[in-house]
Amino acid sequence: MDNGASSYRRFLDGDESAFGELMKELFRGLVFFIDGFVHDTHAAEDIAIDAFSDLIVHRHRYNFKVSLKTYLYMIGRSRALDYLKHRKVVAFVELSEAYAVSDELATLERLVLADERKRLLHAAIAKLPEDMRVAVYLIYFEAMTYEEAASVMKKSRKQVDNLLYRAKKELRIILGEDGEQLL
Amino acid sequence: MRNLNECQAEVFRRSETRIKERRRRRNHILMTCMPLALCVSILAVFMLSGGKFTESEITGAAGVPPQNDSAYCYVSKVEVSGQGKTKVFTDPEVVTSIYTQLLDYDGIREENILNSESKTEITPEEEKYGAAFVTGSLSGASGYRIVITLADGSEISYDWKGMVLTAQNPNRSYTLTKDQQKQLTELLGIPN
Repeated sequence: MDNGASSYRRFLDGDESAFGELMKELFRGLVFFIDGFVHDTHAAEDIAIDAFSDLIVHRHRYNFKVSLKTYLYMIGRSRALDYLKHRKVVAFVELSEAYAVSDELATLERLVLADERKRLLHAAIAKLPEDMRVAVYLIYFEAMTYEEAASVMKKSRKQVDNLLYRAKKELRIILGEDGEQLL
Repeated sequence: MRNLNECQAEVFRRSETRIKERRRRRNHILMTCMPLALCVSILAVFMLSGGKFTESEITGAAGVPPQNDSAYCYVSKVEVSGQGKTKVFTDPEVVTSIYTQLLDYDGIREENILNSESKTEITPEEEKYGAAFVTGSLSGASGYRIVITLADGSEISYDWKGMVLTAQNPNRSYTLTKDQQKQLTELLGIPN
């Protein structure tokens, strides 16, 4: 599993349809990941589009040393944090619109977390501090290696390891004994 | 939420916009920097080729012009008086030649400066030639006075007696060589 690297290489060689394959494979997951930071599905989609756009505009930057998924998630995370930094006004949503927003998130969840177990776990990890939540999400939901997750989070492997250890402890408390089986 | 095809189309649309924007910015920077770079390189070439109008090799004389074509507009006339006669030169080329010639003598004054102790520097041949020159064309008593009037109205004076040329203000004397005397005689149109 090369996480899109071969599709990207084909795209760089001139095969535009390969980019469609890339998006099919990685787009929804990236939106979901970014939504974990910005808590706004539309903004997350926007940011994910910008991240994919980076793959086209700055073709020379990706050196194939990490997986394309890791690289894309790094860009996504960076852009999400920039978005949070520059967001000056908190978006107040009318109550009637709020339901529509939550509906979209639910749709996204259903798309990305097809598994009921994953959805339960995801609901639990939403209660964790951000770093722990991101580490758990990348390792368990996106099936990244510790090194790849460390690259995305700009931390060392050891730090990711510690985050996961502490996240599991917290989740045991949140989920209780039954929930422990989900981990 | 948009479907995947719409998102893909949006990705390509934004990428194209960003690439166009980058190209536009790059061209804008080039258009701004190129004239600047051109000016800097022209200036550098000019400086390296020796724009000498900032230098002056002569010290002591007020308002000394540079030794280049700008002397044309700098020296307005040269007056040579001696033996009861006065000759005035106003032709720009002639006055410039005379003036630059006198400056040349001044430039090698380190070797030629005459003082009471250095009379021994004059060779017997030069001294002999000089004496004959004096008795021949120049009055041993008076010699010639050369007055150079500059464009700003200031004057530089030289007294020329035989082989000795004395600049006024500051007072400095030079011993001319045979060739220099000949040159000066020809320039000033003094009969032998």
